[in-house]
Amino acid sequence: MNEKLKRALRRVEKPARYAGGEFNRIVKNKADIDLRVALCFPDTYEIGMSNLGMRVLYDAANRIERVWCERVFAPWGDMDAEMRAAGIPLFALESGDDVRDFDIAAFSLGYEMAYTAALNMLSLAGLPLRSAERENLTPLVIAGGACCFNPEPMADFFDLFLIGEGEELNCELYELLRAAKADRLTKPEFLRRAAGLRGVYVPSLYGVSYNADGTVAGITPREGAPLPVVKRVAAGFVSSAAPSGAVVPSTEIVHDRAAIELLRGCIRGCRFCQAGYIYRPAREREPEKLAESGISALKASGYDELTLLSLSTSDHSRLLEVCDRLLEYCEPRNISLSLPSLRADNFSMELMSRVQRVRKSGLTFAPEAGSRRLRDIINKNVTEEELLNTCRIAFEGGWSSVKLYFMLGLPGETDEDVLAIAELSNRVLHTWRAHAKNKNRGVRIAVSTSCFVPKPHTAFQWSAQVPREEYSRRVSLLRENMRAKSVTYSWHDADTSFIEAALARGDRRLGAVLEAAHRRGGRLDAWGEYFNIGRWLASFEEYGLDPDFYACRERAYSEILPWSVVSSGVDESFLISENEAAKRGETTPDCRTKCSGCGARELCGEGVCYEGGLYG
Amino acid sequence: MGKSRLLMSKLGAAKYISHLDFMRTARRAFARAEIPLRCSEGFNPHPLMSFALPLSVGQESVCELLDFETAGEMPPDALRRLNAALPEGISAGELYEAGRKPGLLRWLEVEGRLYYDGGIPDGASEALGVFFASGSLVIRLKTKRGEQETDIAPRIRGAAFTDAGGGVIAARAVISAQNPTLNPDAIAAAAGAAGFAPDFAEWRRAEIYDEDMRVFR
Ligand code: SF4
Repeated sequence: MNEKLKRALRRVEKPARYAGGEFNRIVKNKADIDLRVALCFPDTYEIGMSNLGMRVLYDAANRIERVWCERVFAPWGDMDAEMRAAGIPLFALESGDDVRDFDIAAFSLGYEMAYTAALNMLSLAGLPLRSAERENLTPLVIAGGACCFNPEPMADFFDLFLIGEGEELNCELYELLRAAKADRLTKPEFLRRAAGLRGVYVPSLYGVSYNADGTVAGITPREGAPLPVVKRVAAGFVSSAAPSGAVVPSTEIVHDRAAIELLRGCIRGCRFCQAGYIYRPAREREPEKLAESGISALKASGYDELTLLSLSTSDHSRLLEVCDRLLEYCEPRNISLSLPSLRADNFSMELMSRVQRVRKSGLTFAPEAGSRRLRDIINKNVTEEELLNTCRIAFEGGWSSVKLYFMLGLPGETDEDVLAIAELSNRVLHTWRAHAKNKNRGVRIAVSTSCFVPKPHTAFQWSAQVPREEYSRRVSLLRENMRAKSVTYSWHDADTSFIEAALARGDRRLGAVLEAAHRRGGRLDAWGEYFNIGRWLASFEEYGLDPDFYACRERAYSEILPWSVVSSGVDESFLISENEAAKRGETTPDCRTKCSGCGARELCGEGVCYEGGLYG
Repeated sequence: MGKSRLLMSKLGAAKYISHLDFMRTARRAFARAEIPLRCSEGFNPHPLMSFALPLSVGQESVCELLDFETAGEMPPDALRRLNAALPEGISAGELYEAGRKPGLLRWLEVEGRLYYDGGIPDGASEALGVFFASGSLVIRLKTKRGEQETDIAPRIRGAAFTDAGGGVIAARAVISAQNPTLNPDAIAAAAGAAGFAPDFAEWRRAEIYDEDMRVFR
C-alpha cells in the first residue's frame, strides 16, 4: 500500500472498505494474466459486496484462465475528497492498481440513482466520461445489469452494454477482447465485432432521431448492428451450482451472510415489476444442487446465516425439501436460514416451522396495494384472506413483528385504495389481538409506501407517474388514517422517485443532463445524504429538457420508445394486452397455472415454460 | 475444555479492521477452520471469545491475545487450520491454555514511525528523548469528560527516538496498557507539544508485559 493511501485511510470513516485483503478474494500472478477486468459497482463497498450479481460475475470471470477480475466500489464522500486531494486515482481492491490501466472496466447498473456514482468513478479513475473521448481500445468501459434494459440515458458514456444475464455473455466478451488485443484492433474495429455477439448493444452503431415534440422519430442501426438487441439468458441454470466461494468482507456489509440464488425470474407476472419481465422465463435450481451449494457457501465463508434469494422465494416448487436438506446442516451448528421475498399466499405452517428453527427475525410481505381492486389491476394476486391467514399463522407461531410494503401512485389508484392500506393494516392488528401466542411482548406492524416508478419493458411502461404533490397528498391522507399505536407508517420521499422515473424512461438526450448533474456535484445520489433535487432540476433545465416529459407523461402505444432498441424477449403485444387487462381490472394467471404466451419461451430451453400450461 | 488463548498478529491491510470487525472476522475464521466455539446460553447464542486489549483502527500488532472456549476437543492441527482460514495480514502464532487473567496485563511496548515530510528537524530525535525524560508531558487528551489537559508522563515507562532516514524518526516506547490506557497516538501529540509535530505517524504493538515487565502470555 502506498504512502498517500495510508495517510488517506487514517482520516476516513471505515477504512477497511478500501484496504482489501479479505478472505477468499482472488489474487493471481500478473505475469500469467493477459486480460485484467475491473468489476465496478457504482455504490459503496457495503452495498456492492452484498450484491449477488457481483459475487456471481466475479466468480465466473476468475474461473477463466489468464483473466484476473478484481473489485472496485465507489468511495464514500470523505474518501472521494481525500483521493482527489492526494491525487489517488480509483484503484482495484485486489492489486491496488489503477482502474485506468485495466483492459475492461465493467459496471453493474442495477438502479438509476447509481448513474452519477458510475460517472464519478470514471472521473476518479482519470478517464474521460464519454465513450467518444476514449480513443484507445482499452480500458473498454462497459455496463450490464437491469438498468441496461434502457441503456439510452447512459449511452454516451459506455462503449457497449451487455443485455441480460452475464454468466456466459461477460466471459464471451472477455475472450473477444483478448483476441482483439492480440490482433491489435482499433476500438471501432473491436466494437463492430462485439456487436455481432448476441446480447451486446453498441450505442455508437445506432442513430436516433427525434420528432418536434421530443419523442423518438427513429432508431437506425449501422454496419449490420441488430435491432432490437435481444437479451441473453444463461444456459443450464436449473442444474447449475450456485457460486459458493464469495469474498468474505472484513468489515460489516448490508447483507452480511452467505447467499445462494434459489430461482431466477418469477412466475407471477406482476404488471409493475420490471424484474418479473426482464428475467423471464422463471427457472428454479434443483434442490440437490441448492443444498450442496448452500453448504459449501457456509463452509467457505464461516457465516452463521444463509439466505435463499429470489424474486419470490416461496414459489420454488420444492422449497420445503430445500429447507430440510439445508437445516440438517444448519441446525446443529446454530446457523440460521433466512427466506426473504415470501409471498403472503403460500406461506405455510410447514415453511414457518423451518425458518424459525434457529433464529426468529421479522416477517416481511409486499401486498403492494391496499384493495383487492387495485391488486387485480397490478396483477398482484394475493387476497386479503390469504394475507390475514398468513399473519395468523405467524402470530400463532410466536412472531410479533410484521413489515408490509405498499406502493402509492399505481395506475388507476383512487383515494379509496389509499385508505384500504390503513384498513388492511388494522385488520392485521386485529388478527394479532385474536391469535397472538404471547401478547405481553406487544406487536409491531411497520407499513411503508414508496412512490410507483413506471419501468421500461413492463405492462406499465406507457403510464404516467403521479406528480410529486399528488404522491405527497396521498401520503398525508394515509398518515391521517393510520391511527393505531402499534402500526408505524413510513414513506419514501417523492423527489428521488421522480428523478428515478425520469431516468428510467429517458432517452439519449439525458446523457448531457447526467453529465451536468455530476459536474454539479452528483456523487452518490442513491443516498439521502447526497441526493439533491435542485441539482437535478437545474441540470434538466440547462439542456432545455423537462423531467415531467419523461416521468409524468402517458405514452401512446404508437410511440417509438427509446428502450425498444433492446428486447427482453417478451413481446410488446403481450405488454399491451397486459396493460389493457389492467385497465379492465382483469388478472392474468401465473406461468405455472397457465402459460400466457408472452414470448420468453423462445429464449431458453428450460424453466417454467416447459413445465405444463400450454406446452406441457 | 478450559479457556484457550491465541497469540495473533494483525499487520498490513488488516490494521484497518476495527475491533468489532476483528471479532467478527475471528469468529468466522473459527467456523471456517471447523473448530466449534462454546456459545453463550439464551435466545441469541453467540460464541464466547474476547480480545485482551482492543486495538485502534490503523495500528498494527504482533501481540494480540484472543481468549476463547471450544465446544469440543481442540483439534491437534488447530493452529494450522486457523491460519489457513484467516484473511491477509492476520495470523495466529501460538495456541495454549489461557493462564493469567488479561487484567494483569500492565505494560505495552510500541514501535512507531514519525514522518517529517520536510525532513527531520535538526536534533529532533535527541530533543524528543530529553523531552520525554523530563517527567512531565502535558497534552490535550480525550477523556470521558471531554478533552482535558493531561500529564501522560506516568503512563510512559520509557521512550526512545532514533533517526531512521528518509524523514522518519523511529520511536520505541513502553506505555501503560490499561487502567489507564494510553493510545500511542498520544506520543505523536506529545512530540508536537515539544515542537516536533510529525506529518504522519504509524504504530505497531510489539510486546505486552505484566507489572514486573515480564512478557505476558
Ligand atoms: S412463455 Fe408462458 S410460461 Fe414462459 S414466461 Fe412467458 S407466459 Fe410464462
